[in-house]
Amino acid sequence: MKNRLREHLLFLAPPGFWLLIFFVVPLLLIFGYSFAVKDAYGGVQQGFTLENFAQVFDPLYLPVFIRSVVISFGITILTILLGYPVAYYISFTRSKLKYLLLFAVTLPLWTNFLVKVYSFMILLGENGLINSALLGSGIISEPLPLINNSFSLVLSFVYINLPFLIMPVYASLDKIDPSIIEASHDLGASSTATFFRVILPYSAPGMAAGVVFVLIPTLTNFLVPEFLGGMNNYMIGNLIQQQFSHSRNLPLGAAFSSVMIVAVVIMVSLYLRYFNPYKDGKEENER
Amino acid sequence: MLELKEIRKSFGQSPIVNGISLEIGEGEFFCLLGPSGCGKTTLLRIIAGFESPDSGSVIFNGKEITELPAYKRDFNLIFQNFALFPHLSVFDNIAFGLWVKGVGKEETESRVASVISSLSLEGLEKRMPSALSGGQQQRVAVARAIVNRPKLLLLDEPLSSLDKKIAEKTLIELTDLQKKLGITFIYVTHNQDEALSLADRIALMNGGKIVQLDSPENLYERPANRFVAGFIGKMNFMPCEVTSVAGELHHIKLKNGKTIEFLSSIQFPVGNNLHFTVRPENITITAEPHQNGHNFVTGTLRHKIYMGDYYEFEFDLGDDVIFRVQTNKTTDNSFFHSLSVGEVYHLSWEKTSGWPVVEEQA
Repeated sequence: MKNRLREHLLFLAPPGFWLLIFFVVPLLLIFGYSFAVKDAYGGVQQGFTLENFAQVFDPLYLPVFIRSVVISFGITILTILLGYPVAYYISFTRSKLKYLLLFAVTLPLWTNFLVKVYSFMILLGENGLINSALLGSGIISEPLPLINNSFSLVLSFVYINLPFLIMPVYASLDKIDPSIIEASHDLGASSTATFFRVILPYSAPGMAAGVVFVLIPTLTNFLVPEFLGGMNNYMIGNLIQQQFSHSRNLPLGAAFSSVMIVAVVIMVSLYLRYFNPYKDGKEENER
Repeated sequence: MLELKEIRKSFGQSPIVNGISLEIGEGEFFCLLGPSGCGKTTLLRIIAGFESPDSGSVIFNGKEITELPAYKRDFNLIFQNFALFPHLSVFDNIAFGLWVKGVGKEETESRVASVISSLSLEGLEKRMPSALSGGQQQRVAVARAIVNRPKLLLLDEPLSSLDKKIAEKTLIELTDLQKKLGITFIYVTHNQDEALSLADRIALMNGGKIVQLDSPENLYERPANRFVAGFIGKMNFMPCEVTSVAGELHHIKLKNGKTIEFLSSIQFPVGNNLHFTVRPENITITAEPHQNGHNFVTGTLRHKIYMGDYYEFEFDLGDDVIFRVQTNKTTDNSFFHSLSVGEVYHLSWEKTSGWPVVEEQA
């Protein structure tokens, strides 16, 4: 027992220490700040107040919350619809290109997030690549409204999220023993029935992971709506970022953050409770 | 019931199934036996509908089904690794075939319940496959197949992933089940003991072809060629030629010049390039020449292996001929205990036992 504990400590202590210093402590600071009072210079002064939370739940901000939730859920569904078939194809293909395709899926992760956002601006902007090409070839006479609207927001969000859905879904699909699919056919299930009764449930854990990887970062993202979403797609992330930068209202920003953190924790735990395929605590059968 | 006509299938350049034709009757326990790579599994997959042959046809009850997809065939397959659905409970695994066929809830429940009781899986309905032992998984796989009341049950080495004791028990259960259900079984195995003990007829395959299609008794006692003789059971081979035939009496000249006599109602033509085969259990060891007129050869004892319920001896007959002899248990083993390595003994067998075989044709 004692050795076991020492072993756990040996493996878990270094990253645990890291998480404690750079994740748990800052989070606690944020929680602490959310009850603080702002001073006139954008700092924090002594005191305890619930005023910040009262402001967070001001109906003024309700549309932003609703919009953020609707957008992130919509993006997640769209990402599943586009990403699942890709993961399915890659895991079942016998093509030699299989590993090249996998590599291609991860390729966007090699680039910094901000760089990708800027690339979209260069691509979609009023004087961007697409518009100049179309204008130059005389197909259009006015630049198309490709940027700073819901179109560019959705396009870039889905693009950025796809690898995070494809990879875990691929990982779960790739583990399927082909004989299970044959067994399904053998028992009289057509390809469609096999997909819905065998393959889809089997890939549920991968999908569950993918949904978490896509939904949560999208919900709290501020770069994409800031640079690509235009005026009408203000999201919670922007609200928080604004409190910490332009408005210099640290306690209010901290209160927004705390509410979001709690909301996300509740969401994920509910989600895992109802959609976790391993809820009986059993590992899946490998062979 | 099921008829295969000139089935051929190649993967890449190499032919795996090379022109197989056979007919399997209603209620028959039919076995496809052969070493790995002989094409038996591919042939089974063609029957199941997972592979389609390059040429030839599969005919079931008079209907051509060569291109019919697997899910439209009234056959069920028991997979080598059982292929249970890991995300479904035992009950749901068994009910799967009935769900997809749209069988009503009540009927599904009663049919599943009845196979659960006939395979003694009671109490495991809610377990996940990962929480079952190998033997239980095997029974679930059988239950999942027979609940559909297939006309033909295909079994792909169903015992190979079980440990020996459970495999033996399952073997008996399978024969009982087949008799009870009266379903035609096509059973694929590389294990000759399983084949001999289970099957009504065995097709022994090698190199994508059927080498001999026969009853277990004939396969064992009257092998068609050297491959069959060597594959089924243990066998001793002596190069020989048939020098004369008169009625039942054949004179056979062994390579070392000795002539033996062989009595058989089936006549073999005079010819050479044969092997005379004798089963190890049909040979009697004596220190002096036997006085009963049996055929005999002499050999030097090389190895003596005590197996508990029997002895195994290996004799060197010269000319690279090795003779294995297996003794049946007798009340007095003292003679066998007394045999010593390096001594020469007389090995004899009755004139009616043994069998001349040809080299296998390529």
